[in-house]
Amino acid sequence: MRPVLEVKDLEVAFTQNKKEKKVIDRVSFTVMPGEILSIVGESGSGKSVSLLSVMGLLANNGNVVGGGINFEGTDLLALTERELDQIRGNSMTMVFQDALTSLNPVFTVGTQMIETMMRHTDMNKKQARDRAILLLEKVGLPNPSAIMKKYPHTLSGGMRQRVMIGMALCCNPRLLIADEPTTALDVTIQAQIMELLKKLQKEMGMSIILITHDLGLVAEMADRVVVMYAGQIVEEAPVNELFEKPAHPYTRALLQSVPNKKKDKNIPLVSIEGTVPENYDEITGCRFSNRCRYYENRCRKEQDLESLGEYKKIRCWKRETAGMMV
Amino acid sequence: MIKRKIDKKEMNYRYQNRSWERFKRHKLALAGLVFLIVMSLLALLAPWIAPYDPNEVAGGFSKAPSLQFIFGTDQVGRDVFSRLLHGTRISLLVGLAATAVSTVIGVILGLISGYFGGWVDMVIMRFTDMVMSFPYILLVLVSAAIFGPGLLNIILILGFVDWPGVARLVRGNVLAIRENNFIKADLVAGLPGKYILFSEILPNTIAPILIYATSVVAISILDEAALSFLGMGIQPPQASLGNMLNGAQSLSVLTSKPWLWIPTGSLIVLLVISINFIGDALRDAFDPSGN
Repeated sequence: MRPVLEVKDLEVAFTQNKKEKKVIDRVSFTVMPGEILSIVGESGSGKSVSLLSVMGLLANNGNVVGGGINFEGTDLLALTERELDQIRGNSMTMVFQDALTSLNPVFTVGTQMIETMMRHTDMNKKQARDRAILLLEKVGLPNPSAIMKKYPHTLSGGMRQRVMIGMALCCNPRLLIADEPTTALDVTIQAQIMELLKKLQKEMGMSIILITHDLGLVAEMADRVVVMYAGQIVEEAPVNELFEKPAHPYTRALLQSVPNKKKDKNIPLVSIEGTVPENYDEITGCRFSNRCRYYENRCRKEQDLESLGEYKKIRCWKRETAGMMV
Repeated sequence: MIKRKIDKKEMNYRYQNRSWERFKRHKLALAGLVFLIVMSLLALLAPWIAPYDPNEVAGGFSKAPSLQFIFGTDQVGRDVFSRLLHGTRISLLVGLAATAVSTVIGVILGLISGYFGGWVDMVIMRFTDMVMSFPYILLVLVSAAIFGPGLLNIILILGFVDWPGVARLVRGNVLAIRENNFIKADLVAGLPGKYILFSEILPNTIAPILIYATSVVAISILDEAALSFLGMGIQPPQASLGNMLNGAQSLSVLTSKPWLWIPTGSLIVLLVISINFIGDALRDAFDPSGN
């Protein structure tokens, strides 16, 4: 089967004070049709930047300096802005983390949905309107025709995020990128939104890339997981395998820092000491080495992402013994 | 179950109602609004209301107010009241038209500057700084001298000189709005830049533009008065509030013939003050957080 999205050796650099700083280093991943791929990592690990470059939304000082992005056989990097507009919002779309500001405050929900649809399809206003109502119903909003007439500030955060998802679905996208879609929402609403995404994904057969740092969500939703650290992929594995046998020390540390109902409440939560190093592009060898419990001399040598078994990839010198480290 | 249905009309009505409530709290603005409406009506209907032709000699020179000429006559015997009505017409026209010109220029430059950023922003903003750094009245005078006086020229000159404030205001707003997620969402939805700029960003910055524009109207009326007073604006015999004061340059007129300048001067002051009060109240009315 042909992958929906294929990112190969992507390198992104930001220019600051005339100095180029590489923030994404040879990132590769593929998304198959109907698959939910999750990208996890701390803040500043490059998850969002990688996906923003897929959408062509990098800030002015950011540039893709290497690699390729292939969406259903089209090289996205070779497209002009206008050609990209044909793909964005049509077959590839994105939902942002802050639902509260994702809608234009001066227009009604209906106006915004209808406008987007009429831009991308040859529907007339009436058809677009009917479809918008249908979509709002699909994302579980009660009384959709009333919501169409409402201004965003009269809706709650959860409702707004539902509207956003509804808008994202308006042209039957094949790929939906969800950038921490539930961070601004409270926990019960989070669960509902995730249920919704999963349901829609099944119904419409689209692929989803879920960017998050909530490992609970990943376990619920994802088919495969890519773990990023300091601009590199450090581990890639099917979701079960990642949770059962985390191979990279960083993945393991991430999993240990997740609160768990079964754990003794008196034991303090484990945290990963330190932060993501600042100029991580200047580090040779393992970028996680300064925070790693298993640090050895050989970690200072550059290493590559290598396959371990059929579906698993890991960037660590100790990969042979990876499953066994305690 | 009680079901409440709120339709769009009602919601709009509510919003407008609240804004109107906030506006009404400013008694001075309300008075200003009434005054402005009355004056606009008088000015609009001037040809039918004015007792005399404003440019025809109707009576003796510099006659004091009487039942026949309620504000007296000017140095060449024209009815001051009729000229006042026609002058207000011209002054309001100049104020509104010049503001329209400068707002359009300022909004377009500000939008482009704020949205595209980079060198475009640099060039536009430095040009704005340059225009702003000229002594204002001198710039207007020199332009009037070059292009010649006259109604259309005055409107264009004031319009082309007043835009930097609007441009800066709009640019600042665009910079803030641009960072909002809904703009990113628009990009993701594949909406073209032109659409985002004019149909998404611009409506979000209408309120401050409108408020700023009221002050520009006031300033333009004053500038027209100043220019015409100096003889560089509206040319006689056509009446404007400024060139009616032109006759009151001598001390003897100022002291012994107050009907030649008090009504005109007061009218300018009242018009400008009314507009400024309205602008103040508009700011509060548009501010959704202000209670």
